[in-house]
Amino acid sequence: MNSIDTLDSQTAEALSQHNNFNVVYCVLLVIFIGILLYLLRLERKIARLEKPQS
Amino acid sequence: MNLKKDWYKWAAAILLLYVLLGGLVLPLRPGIVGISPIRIETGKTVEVEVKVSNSQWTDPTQISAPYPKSLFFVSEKAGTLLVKHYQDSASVISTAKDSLNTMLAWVANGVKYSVTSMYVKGTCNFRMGDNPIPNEMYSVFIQLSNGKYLGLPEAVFIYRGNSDTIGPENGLISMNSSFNNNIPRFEMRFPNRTVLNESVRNLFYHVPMWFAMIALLSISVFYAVNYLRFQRLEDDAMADSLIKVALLAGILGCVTGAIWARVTWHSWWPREDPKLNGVAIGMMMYFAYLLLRSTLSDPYQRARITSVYSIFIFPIFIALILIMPKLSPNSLHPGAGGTVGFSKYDLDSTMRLFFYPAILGWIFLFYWISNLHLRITKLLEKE
Repeated sequence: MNSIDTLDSQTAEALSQHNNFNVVYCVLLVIFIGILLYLLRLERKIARLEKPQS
Repeated sequence: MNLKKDWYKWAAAILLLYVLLGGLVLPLRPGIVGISPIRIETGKTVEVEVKVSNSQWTDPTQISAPYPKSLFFVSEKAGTLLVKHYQDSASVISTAKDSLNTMLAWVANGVKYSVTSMYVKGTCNFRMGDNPIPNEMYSVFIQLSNGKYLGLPEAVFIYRGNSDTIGPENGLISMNSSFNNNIPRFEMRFPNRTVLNESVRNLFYHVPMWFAMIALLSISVFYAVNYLRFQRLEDDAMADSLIKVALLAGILGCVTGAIWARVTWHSWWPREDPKLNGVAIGMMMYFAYLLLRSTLSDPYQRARITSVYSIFIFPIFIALILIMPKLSPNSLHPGAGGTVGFSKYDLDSTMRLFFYPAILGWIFLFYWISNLHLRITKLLEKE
């Protein structure tokens, strides 16, 4: 395999990676999980507030 | 819910729904994804394949979208190589820029279409003639029937082969300078940029995290100043809630940015980028705020010290993430170093339709969360 062939296989790899829609889903998932974890923390604080009353 | 008091919560819900739907559903404009092979030897017959994504060219006989007319290989140094290409039959034209004899012959085998992408396949035989610059990177351009161009910069390396002897041998010579008839027309599609491709949509999800963080920190400075003026613990609680939720937005901005960078810049955290270094230091300063706050128990003392601290670090934070990257010579981020900002001319009108609502929507959402945090803190303090 000479250097030209290697370069061409790299191009083929690059061609197959052009559809990077999954990054957008990953980013949205991270934001969703992050906000969810924060809300769970707030939830635990509210639970602490509710305890003495019940 | 009280509409007068809670309008921003409704606005957050509506704007974010709009941004999520539009940002995920709208397609990209067509763009050249790549060319294979990326090295072409002149004087030899080579089969070349140019791949186009999101073309929506389904059937060459029933084309409603703009179809490809010609293919260019362009280099600023070595001149322009031009192939006129009409669907199945191909006529061969090559142009010479100035006095350079850049020759090219192309025999097309026809255009292959598929539903979402298009391949132009053909065999070509380049002749360099007595071109003084034999080895050069060429950009590939496809001219569409509506006068627009698709391009991929520095896509193919054309070098002189042993069998390419001196002198133009075949093809017609004609001058071509039709590169300026690009008619801008509004399309409800996102731009297709090299490297970015589909991930351009992250502009609506990653970038507003930082807008939200800066917005919340600005409001917190206002409340911190208010605390120092009137000594009301309420103002201090408000400033604290805003900073904590701003940190959440900042952490999310870092993580989403790292994921995006891994795909487009091939590194989770490119160390040479001044914006990333600035953000790392800036986030540390706000983590120090959390630490400082947790060590002080007297509410008035805690409020006074942390208010002063947060007022001081805010301008430093802005300098680190906005001003220093602009002053530095280079940066991967748009709007920093040598790169231009999205607003200058990079951000096209379709992106704007979703980018500005996204900023507002995310700011409202994080403000809403900080409001929840504040109300819980107030209740906890009452006990």
